[in-house]
Amino acid sequence: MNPGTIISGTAHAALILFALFGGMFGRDRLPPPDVAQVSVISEEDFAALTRPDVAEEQTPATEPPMAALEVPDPPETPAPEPEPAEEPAPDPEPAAEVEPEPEPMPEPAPPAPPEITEADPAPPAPPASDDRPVAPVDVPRPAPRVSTEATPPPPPEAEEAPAVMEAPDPEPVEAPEEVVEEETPTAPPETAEEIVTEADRPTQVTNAAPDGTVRPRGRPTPPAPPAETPTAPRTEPTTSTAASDNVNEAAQEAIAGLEQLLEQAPQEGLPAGPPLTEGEREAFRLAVRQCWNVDTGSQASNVTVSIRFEMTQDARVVTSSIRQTDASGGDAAAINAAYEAGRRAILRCQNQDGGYNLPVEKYGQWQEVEVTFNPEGMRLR
Amino acid sequence: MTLLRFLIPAFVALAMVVPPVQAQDGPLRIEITEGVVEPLPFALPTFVAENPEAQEWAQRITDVVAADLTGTGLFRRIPQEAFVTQITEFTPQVTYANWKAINAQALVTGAVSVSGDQINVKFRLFDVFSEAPLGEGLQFGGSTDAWRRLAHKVSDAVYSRITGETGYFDSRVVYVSETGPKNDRLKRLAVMDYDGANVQYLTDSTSLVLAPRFSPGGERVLYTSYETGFPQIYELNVGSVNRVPLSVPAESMTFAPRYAPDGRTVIFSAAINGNTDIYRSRPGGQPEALTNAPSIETAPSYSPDGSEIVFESDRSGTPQLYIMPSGGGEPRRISFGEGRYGTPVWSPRGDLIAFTKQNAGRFHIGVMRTDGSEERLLTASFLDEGPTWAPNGRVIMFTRESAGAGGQPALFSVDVSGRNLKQIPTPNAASDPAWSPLLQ
Repeated sequence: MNPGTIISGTAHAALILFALFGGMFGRDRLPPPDVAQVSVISEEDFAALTRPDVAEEQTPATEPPMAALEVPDPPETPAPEPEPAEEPAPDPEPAAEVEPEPEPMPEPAPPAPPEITEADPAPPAPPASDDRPVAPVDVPRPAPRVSTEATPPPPPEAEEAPAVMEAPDPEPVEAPEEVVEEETPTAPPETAEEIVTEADRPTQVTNAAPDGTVRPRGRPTPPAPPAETPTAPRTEPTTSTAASDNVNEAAQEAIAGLEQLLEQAPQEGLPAGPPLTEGEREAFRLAVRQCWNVDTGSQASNVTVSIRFEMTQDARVVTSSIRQTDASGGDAAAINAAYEAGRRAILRCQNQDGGYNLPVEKYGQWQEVEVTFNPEGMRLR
Repeated sequence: MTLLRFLIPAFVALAMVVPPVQAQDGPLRIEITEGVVEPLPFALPTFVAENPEAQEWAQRITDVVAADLTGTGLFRRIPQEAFVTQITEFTPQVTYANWKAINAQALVTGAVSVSGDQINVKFRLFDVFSEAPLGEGLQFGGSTDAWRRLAHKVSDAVYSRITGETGYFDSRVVYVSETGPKNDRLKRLAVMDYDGANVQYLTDSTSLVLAPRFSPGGERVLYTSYETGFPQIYELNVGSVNRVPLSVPAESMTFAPRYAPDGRTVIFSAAINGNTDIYRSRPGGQPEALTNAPSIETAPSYSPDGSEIVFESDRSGTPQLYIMPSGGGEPRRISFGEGRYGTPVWSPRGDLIAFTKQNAGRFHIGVMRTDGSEERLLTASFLDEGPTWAPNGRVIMFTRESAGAGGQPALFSVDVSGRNLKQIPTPNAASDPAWSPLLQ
């Protein structure tokens, strides 16, 4: 075989493989910095994490190590701070500084909150060098936990009490008001009744969500190789063999076919772009949820209904495409009522000026959507 | 072969490159398990008066429809001042954008015409965000005296189309009207619209009356009267106000009557020789005992299909709720909570039982499933008792009495969800309500 042909063929093959596999491997490198992991922390999750309950749950696990770890620390830090021993009386003033006195244990705590909690534990340690178990353990605990997690949270928890009869007023006339009060926590009427705010909320929520991972674009290199290959072989062996031409053509056709497939994918309505991140999905879910009005006393509140619909590229719902795909838990009338409630939610919560807030580059992922409305969490118990 | 050697990797690459792009398999699927609970905003422009005589009626009917819908707690009427456009003509075309702009999810338009003492009301309902009519337009006609019923029928139709449940606005309530001081109370039977309007009295105040109950058709009422000095059950025809005593066991005191779903059989409690049991009286037959126990069995109520009876018994030591077959038999206890349970009433839907509960010095109206599960207390006060279901099983009306010497009983209603507790306006003190079926 002609050496030129072999060289040409080898070069082409290398270029093709590089163009194909090199790009793929490159794609894999992009996902790691995916922001999806960050977006998982929704407002609810964040609220749950910041609840005192959670904090309290963490404390038992961290307390033992804290005590164990910080005991050795005190002996190191006490040296640079001989002042605490020198200033026994002036307790109130030193509060401004980071110098808590050994005896007044409760006082050092107040100044601690504004300060960084980790910095404070060191000072109190020296005076407690003798009383190991007491000083090191008490000081670090209250400073970070009590100060950072404010006590206010408990009140809102009282709103969760579902029982209608609990804590009724002693006055019979006021009893009805209590029942009404229990409604308010479930749905503040004023805020939710205004469609303008509801329409705007989705945008705010979706904006809060991460924009998602950058879609790895196609490989720009493929076009280059075919342009170079013809020049080299043609100059040297003018009477190039038919085999080399066939290989070139085949390679070009293969590359062109790949590019065409990739380009045609979105045009033909095929799914395109990477999957929606959890944040994007959650934002979309919240957007619809805000408009799903559940009549908890109706038979429809026992119905789980799935509704499928299509969306245009500007994230508007195609009204004519809305259809029920599945339903369970009630008779025909209840199912129809549940479907209509879901349908209204889907239509109502899209922005009046621009549909839902979804990443356009992932249109293929959400051009068809199926929402399952499951009122399980809202049923009266 | 050479060609294949180069093409194969290309196709392999093609197979490997395409799949990552097709990450989405089918539609994007999301599940929502929690929504919001809020009144549905609707627009109700004043009905169009199609002739000058209808002007006043149009306004009245519109007001009643608005009161019906908003009174459920499920709807919120948008003030007409917020309307972008006014409805001046009753046409099937509406500009949905104008109603979307004010967040109206439903739009009710209507027209009223009056000819002599005849009045016609027609309406249309639109789903604003779907931009489509919600059902066909409807028209009701009647005498001007029945204008409130016409309005209630419009409300029922709107309610039904939006919620998928039948309405309860075109219904009546029979109750005991009370006047006078607490220690010398005069009681008489009265009937009114569900909202407290159109009160009419069925008996005078010469004798004490208790516990009226509508027949399934709404044309008759059972009640207990002390006319003879002892409690005796009577059946009263609402139209003619004629009454006849019910055939009961001899030498007995009878009370707590209630119709069976067939409208002919009656169950009641009878105290004979100091022992109270539940009896059944069939047309043309003699009363038969359904229970036979030394304890007190009372307040029976049929299930909607007539197959079972729920009643109150203190056989366990305290009043509790039991269910037995309609023909009698071994009852099963369904209430196991703390306190005393009484006056059970089976929901027209058949899924719930409403009851009165006394616990820790307070009274409650509550509901539970027919197996006793999922008990929920809807109210709490000094004295709540005697629940009765709306014809659609969505609302419960009951008696609430305030404490003290000047305490007066009044009628209240509450949604089965525990929301929308409100007092029903009555001219006098009122107790013992019983809801009629939906009028025909």
